[in-house]
Amino acid sequence: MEWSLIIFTTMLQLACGLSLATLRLQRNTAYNPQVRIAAMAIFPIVACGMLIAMFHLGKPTNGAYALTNIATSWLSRENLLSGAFAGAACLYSFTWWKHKESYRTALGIITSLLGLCAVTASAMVYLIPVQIVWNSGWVPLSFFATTLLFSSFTVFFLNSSTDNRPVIKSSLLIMGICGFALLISVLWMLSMLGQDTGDQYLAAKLQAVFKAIVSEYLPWLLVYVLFACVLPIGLAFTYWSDGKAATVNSRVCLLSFIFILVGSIVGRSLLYVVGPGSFSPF
Amino acid sequence: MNSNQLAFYVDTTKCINCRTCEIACKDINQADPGQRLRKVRTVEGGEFPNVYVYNVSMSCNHCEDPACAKVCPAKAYTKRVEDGLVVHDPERCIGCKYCTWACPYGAPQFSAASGKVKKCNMCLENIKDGEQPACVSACPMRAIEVGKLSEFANRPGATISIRHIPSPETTNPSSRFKVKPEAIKGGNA
Repeated sequence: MEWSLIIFTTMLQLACGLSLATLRLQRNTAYNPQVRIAAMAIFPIVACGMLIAMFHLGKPTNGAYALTNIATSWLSRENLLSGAFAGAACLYSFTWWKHKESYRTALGIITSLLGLCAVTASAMVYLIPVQIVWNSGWVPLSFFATTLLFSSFTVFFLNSSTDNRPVIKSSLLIMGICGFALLISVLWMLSMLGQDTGDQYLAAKLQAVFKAIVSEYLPWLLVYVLFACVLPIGLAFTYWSDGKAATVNSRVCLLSFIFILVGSIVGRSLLYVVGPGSFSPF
Repeated sequence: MNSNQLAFYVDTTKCINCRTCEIACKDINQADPGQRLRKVRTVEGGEFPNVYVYNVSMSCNHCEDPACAKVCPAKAYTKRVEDGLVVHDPERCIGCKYCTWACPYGAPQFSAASGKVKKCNMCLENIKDGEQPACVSACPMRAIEVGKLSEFANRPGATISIRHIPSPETTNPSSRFKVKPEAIKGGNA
């Protein structure tokens, strides 16, 4: 289990989500201290994620070479874009820390765009032809849905005690949609395990993965579905009605965020269960 | 196809699963524990009384379109123009293991001890000295040959579409095999 990569991809998506959320909120709540904290957290989160990712490398001292194959390697592109996102996030977080508003919006847009590009590249890393379960649209769908889930949850959390109903409702709507999207990505992945490939090797590989998912890893799959898919949908339905959002307890919000984060990490770890190592030709 | 492409030809009908080729390869490459740069797989199947078994000895297939070279972020892989061999440069390797995910045949092998990947390079130094790769010399059944792909591809029955081995369409492997009829992908067995 590649824990360093699991944590890196989750933190990258969280940082990108926070960037989108604070960009959304900065006009209305520029002086809200919680928005400031969320914005200041973007750079430390992505920087920590990248540092943790280095533990995945067998030779981190050769790490500079990892940027040399931008032409064909999505991993090289991911490294470049994550670095660019981290750089932009550093400047963006700095403008929030020092209360500098002059370039904040432009930096927010650049940071968010670079974050989305980095998330795209990190999803494309997994679209390898030989990894038949990964090589499908459910991987980018789950990556983007997780990013937007973090973003919309942040917007909801930071506005839950305000009277800003349009913002709250839009964030709840996006949360619900992301929960459904993640549910669809799970069903899509499971449907791939039952496909008829007409190839004995691929059939054996899919069978091995299916066995692992429905036996050893079934509890983890349920944790992912409950925490990352059902919980956001449940929150959206619970707080949709007018006035309900104003009654949200901050502890409930914090607990919900922790569950969603845990669910996302479990989901990323399941990505590796269905990937390499599950079955090899020799 | 590169007309000078070097390739392995393995006569699996001769293979007795002694794994001398694995040991010779491991020895000459100083592979770490757990690394098997050449691997022999035994495939059994069928239903009594029509059962079958065959052995496939495979290392790197020095593919025409190597997935390892495409995905490596450090450009640690090079497909040589002069002979089509895919060689790995350990000095550039960052140990990300991405090539181990991308290769259909499990050719690149990661070692936690060295933090790098290692892969068959067809004993390039031996080839340059006019000698044979270690696996070819070691095989007691003379089941493994090295030569030009253009010659091997024209041999009757030469194939790379082997049952229970990944399909060749992804990377166009250069190796060729002589197999029993029940080992042919899509065949009746």
